[in-house]
Amino acid sequence: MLFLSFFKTLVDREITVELKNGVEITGTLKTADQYFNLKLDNVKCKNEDKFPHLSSVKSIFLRGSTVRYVHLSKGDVDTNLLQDASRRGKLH
Amino acid sequence: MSDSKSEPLDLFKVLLDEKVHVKLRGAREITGRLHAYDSHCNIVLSDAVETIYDTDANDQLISTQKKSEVIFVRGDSVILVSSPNDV
Amino acid sequence: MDQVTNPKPFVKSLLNKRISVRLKFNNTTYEGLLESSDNYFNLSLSNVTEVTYNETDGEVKERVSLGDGKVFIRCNNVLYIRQLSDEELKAIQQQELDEGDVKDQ
Repeated sequence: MLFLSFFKTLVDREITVELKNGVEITGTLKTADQYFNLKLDNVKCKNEDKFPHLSSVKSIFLRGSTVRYVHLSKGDVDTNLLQDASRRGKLH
Repeated sequence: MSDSKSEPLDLFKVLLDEKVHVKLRGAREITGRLHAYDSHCNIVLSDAVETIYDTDANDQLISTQKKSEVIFVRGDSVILVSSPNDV
Repeated sequence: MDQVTNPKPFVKSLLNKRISVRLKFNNTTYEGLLESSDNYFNLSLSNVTEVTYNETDGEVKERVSLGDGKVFIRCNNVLYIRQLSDEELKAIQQQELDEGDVKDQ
């Protein structure tokens, strides 16, 4: 639940998602679900050599399990809020 | 003095706001300041440095580093988490 | 019929003992003191040494100490957990002493 809320705070921000196959995709986060499946708009790929040249692609759905990292800037997150939420009830 | 029953994940709680070292699948390591975690080992780090180990054409070990202001790491890539020992 | 040892009691019995945790890949083992485990068999170890083995002959390639702090190992990476025998512990200690001597010289 914690990270779902975290992703929901990132809606309408630009994020860079690095997939497990090395592809890096930058886009505006539109939706996220409990599995961290993501929908991104205004998609641009950062490493075109790996990404199929679908320059016409504007919107994508990313299966959560394929994500390795999501890169963000400090302004996108409230680190104190995150820490408090982590410290409080952890649902094991 | 004996500890009351503690769980492995309690280590994360103690390490919040501390620098951590995370070993990941794919010969990767990340060090950064821990801000969030959950039971799946999904984590958020700030001022993160990712080190990727690889071999070059001559089979020599090489490493590349990437920096991130803030990085979310999906838990299924995580192998281990520890406090960095400054070696 | 003898009493059977189930996984959870087995791991419980290894608390505060030096164990060896073999991972499913990377030909890697972590030796350390078992501090705690949970229902998923996530592990927390202290005084950990990372031991990598050669893929070719299974001999020890490298031993790296991870310090005195605690190390968390995610459950899904674990192939097996076993207790280190007294002989193994002695051998490790001896090896560390030998390495210490070489460094001092």
